[in-house]
Amino acid sequence: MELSQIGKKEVDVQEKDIRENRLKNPMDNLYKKNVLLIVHDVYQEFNAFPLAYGYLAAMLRKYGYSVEVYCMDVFHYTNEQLEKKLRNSTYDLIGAGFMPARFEETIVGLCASVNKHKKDAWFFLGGPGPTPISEYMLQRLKVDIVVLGEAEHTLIELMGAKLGKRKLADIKGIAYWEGDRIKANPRRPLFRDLDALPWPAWDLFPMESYTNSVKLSGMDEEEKMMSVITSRGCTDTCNFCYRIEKGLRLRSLKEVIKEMISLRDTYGTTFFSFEDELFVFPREKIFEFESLLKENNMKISYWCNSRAAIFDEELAECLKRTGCKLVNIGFESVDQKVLDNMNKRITAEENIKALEVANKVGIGLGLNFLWGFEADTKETLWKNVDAIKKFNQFDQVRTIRPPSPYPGSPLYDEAVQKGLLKGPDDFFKRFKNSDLMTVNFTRYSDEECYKMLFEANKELVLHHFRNTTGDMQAAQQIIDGFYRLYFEGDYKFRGARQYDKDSHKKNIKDKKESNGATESSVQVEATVA
Amino acid sequence: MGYKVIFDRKNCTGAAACAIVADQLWRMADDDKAELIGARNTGNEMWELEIGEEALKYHKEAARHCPVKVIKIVNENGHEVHLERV
Repeated sequence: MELSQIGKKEVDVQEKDIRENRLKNPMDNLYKKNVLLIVHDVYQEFNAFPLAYGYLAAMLRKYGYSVEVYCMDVFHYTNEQLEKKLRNSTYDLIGAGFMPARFEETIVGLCASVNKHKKDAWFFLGGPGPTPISEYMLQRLKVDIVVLGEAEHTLIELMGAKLGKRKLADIKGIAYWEGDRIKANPRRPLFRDLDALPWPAWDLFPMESYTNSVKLSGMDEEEKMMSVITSRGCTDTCNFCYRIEKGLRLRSLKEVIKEMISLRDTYGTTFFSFEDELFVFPREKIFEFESLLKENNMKISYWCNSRAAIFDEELAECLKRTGCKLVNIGFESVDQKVLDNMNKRITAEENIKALEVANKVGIGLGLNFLWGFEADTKETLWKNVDAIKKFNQFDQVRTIRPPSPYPGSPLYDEAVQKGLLKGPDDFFKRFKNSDLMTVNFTRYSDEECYKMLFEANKELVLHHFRNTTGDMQAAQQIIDGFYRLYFEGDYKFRGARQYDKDSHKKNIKDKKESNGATESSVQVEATVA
Repeated sequence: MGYKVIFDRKNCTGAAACAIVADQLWRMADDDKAELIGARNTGNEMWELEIGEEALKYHKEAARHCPVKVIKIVNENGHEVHLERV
């Protein structure tokens, strides 16, 4: 029988005796935790709550297992500190999750440290980084197990296996070593009843650090932010994107509101960060959200992600009424050939219309643009620059990045097919920073691309600071960061937004006139293929 | 006027948009592909369902939001019903 299909019946039966055993020996739990979850460092001061870990910890606890979370992100613990911790502790399972961009810089060293001191624990990895290339990860990092896809139910079964109640061969959704051979079990059927999952185990995390860390446009200095998710997945398949599971699944909004009330009452959260890849879908959801907020007398602020195609005036007004301060949209380009190139399933006109709507309604806008697809040219780059300048409301300093063909994405497959990439090892050797081109899909040389990107991003940074704080020294620091990254191989640059700490104050010097641009008089027109 | 929903299930990618925007008429099956409730298999994983005017708008929504365009609606004359872009 499969756990996700039959509910938790089987696990309830199998783990009942474990819980009972633990109650007989309560002292055991004082010294040994069953599971250690390691949140790796991302080397920045702004850390959003790691929701995936929160859900995993809550699920494990629901089934009676003790969990410890080691937040290297918030405290910037080094691998040496991690090793010291591991030397003094024992666990059944040790786990870490990651995105592919963090692999060489962070995960390789972290795994070596855990392997040295894990004792008899099983060390597993999960998330979008290892899932599509589990065999490579097992061989390269010498970890015991890679969890494929969402891990909540898999971890419960893994704990059962570690305690001798199950066989690894019977657990769906894992790849692991069987002697000196790698075995990949079939994927676990998708778990659709998201409301059945417990809320994240907030109390295991340094909540003060997470709720006070991120400051976005429209937030007061004292306001506390917390991450919440109302859905998992996305309906679309843009070619640069990779997800660990297919399709979109929604939580009930009533359940979401209950969780938000609990966060407000427990941690004083009034600003919510909706981490859904596609919060605004279907559009009726937003109107239901408004009704439920009213019903519960909740006044909140939040940011969320949307698709441009669905973003019309009625919807934007509703988002604004409900407290949305910033809607993040992946426009990616205003050129139709490029949009088709990336399977964006949108027209350039729809992108422009969404930009106009956001300006008209006056809702904060996260302007995400990419440049460096096969159809991209110098002209398409500057069309993107002009669009950002024209429609920017200066909520965040926005620049343009090249697409990274992360393993698992259709773009990665395309790069391999075209002989531009040899495989995961080649990808990780080439990937240095998400503002750099891991693979050059354009008609230009790398040098030409970086020269063009430098000029474009310099223009965007200057435009932002001229129209906000006027702090041109801060602007120059970001521009210098781009220069060192593009031309001097200084890979520590973390993206322009990380260096702009004041935008959220919205100290706009020259407030834009109604719906118009400040400096940019360039008319952006959609190019239809 | 009667209509027919034609669903190419073989090429469904499981985005689940149909099952979200028209959850009374579409659902996700155990193989993570969509299922057109009440439809008959006409072979090669093509499914068809006759519908009336009242269900049309919901199926149109499902078809509009399908990212791989595997849902089509035709009228009595066999002409494809126009869908506005999402």
